[in-house]
Amino acid sequence: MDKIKIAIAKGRTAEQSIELLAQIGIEFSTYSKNSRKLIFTDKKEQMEMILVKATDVPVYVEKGAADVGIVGKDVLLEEQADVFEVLNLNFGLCRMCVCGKKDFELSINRKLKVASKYPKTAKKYFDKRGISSEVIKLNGSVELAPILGLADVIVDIVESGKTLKENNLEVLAEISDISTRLIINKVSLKTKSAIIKELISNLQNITQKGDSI
Amino acid sequence: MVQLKNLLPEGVETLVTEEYAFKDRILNNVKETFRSYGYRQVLTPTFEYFDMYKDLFGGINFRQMLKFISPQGDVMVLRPDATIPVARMAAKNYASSDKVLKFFYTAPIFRQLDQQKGEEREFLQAGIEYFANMDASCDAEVIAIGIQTLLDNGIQDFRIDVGQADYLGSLLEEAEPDRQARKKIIELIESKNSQDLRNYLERRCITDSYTALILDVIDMYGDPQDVLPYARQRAINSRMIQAIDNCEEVLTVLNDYGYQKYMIVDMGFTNPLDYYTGIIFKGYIENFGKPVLQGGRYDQLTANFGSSKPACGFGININYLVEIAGMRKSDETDLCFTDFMIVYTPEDRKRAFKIATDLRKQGFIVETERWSDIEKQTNIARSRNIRDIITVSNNTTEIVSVISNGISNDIKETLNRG
Repeated sequence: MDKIKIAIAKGRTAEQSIELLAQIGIEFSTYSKNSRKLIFTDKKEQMEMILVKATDVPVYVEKGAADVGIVGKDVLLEEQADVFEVLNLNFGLCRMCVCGKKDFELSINRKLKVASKYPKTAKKYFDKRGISSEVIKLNGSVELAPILGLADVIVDIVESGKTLKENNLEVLAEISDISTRLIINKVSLKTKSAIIKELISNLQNITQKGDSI
Repeated sequence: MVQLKNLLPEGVETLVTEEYAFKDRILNNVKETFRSYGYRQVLTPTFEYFDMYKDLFGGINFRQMLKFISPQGDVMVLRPDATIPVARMAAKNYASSDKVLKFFYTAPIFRQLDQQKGEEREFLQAGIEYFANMDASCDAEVIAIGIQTLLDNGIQDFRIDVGQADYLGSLLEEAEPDRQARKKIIELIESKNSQDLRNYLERRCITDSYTALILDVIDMYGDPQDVLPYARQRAINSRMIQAIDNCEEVLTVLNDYGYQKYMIVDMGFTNPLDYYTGIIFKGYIENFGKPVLQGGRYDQLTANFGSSKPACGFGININYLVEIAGMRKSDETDLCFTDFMIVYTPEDRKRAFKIATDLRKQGFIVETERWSDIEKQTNIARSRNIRDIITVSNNTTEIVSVISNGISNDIKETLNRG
């Protein structure tokens, strides 16, 4: 049978995904945190794992370069890929939020300035509410933007809220819950359906029981 | 400054000789297949008024259309879809006719995406549209031609995935009266996102039995023999049952074409372009991540243009087909070649041209060139895949073989006559 290819976001998602896959008998014994390798094959040679940047996972899967992917909902909201999003893996839990200084008030006279790693998500959120906004794309330490006056508010993922607190910011509005998802290429689900359906149901069994990581 | 004159815009390409020949051969195969079923070729303009597309229910995303403004100030679009203009043509040009119409087209389609992601902005599509036949045999024929098109291009490891828009459509109309909410639900079903769908249905206060059924539909895909009986058992209104009847009828006809082994079904298919009203189908090829062909039944579309004709059709992305065939082709070096190069001296030019004309009449590809340095000319001929050089000089005619595959007596006679 053909091997299936799984694209996983590098970093913490990869660590947790590999543990999860090990629980259903798919072991990547050659993987180690410090390895520079980007492609790994599992012990039973059923699956090939590709480690890519989180934002690239939906692209690989949509285009069929990978059959399956594991990636955060935050990335899926931003990238709008045409894939099947079949399973909530219930880890990497956090929230997509609008954050700003405690005393922030929306002005009706000025366009809202928003800084975010998720410019499309941010734009869509404010457009939907009839609020004109100017979005500035940043790539990290977004919390700095309201402090330094680069933007009025930020749109970002919030896990514990600790970073916000330490920078005197707070959540002004919640956009949506975020968690890690299993996505499938729309053709692969149909052409390699036996093996992929099995993967989905195995992962479903362990992630819905509540004993997930 | 970047010299734009040296660059190609995003999403378009140039095709050089061999690549073009390869694509053209595939396109010709496809056209031959369509013709062999009695479909006749039509062509609609490359650009039309934006209004033709604008007033259609749903339709193509306006933002994806490539637009420009006419001197009169009208917004024009480069053909973003082939079915709509052909449907308009069928409705307008054949308004008073109730005869069946079978058309095929090959046309470039233009679409720009927010992120192009390597997709072409201009790609070639070929397709058929069958008007004024409501019967399941019409849907089956359209699907069968789709299958034959792939087979005729040497592709065998493919699946045709069939759904019926009305199964889910009628269920949702019953369960969720709000159109906007239905759109959101369809979006979630389209991505088989059952968990978010469950939450959303809960928020919309949809009853448990509807929720269970809608979630069930997400998993109604696979082998028709497993899926359809189950889908029938779960149907709760007459339109859902009719949708299953219709699917089964079409599949039964396809069995008689001998095509059951290619068929799978998905009752969770929704209507991506909003104009499909019945059978919807997509064609997938193993290890190619995007559907290569899609189509379905659209009984209401022509009514927008003043005469109601039921219809069914499909389109196949020729660029994808070329990509797939290209990945699999064995060495083919003979896509572009020349049979003879005639090299002449000025004194013998008239005789050379006569020979060239005679050979062309016999079906050969013949080039002519003035004699300069025969060795150099032979080398160039070899690199250009020219098979033989014929030298015409001093009243004699000689053949210099380059990559010759044999000279027949007919040819020798032609040369002697010259």
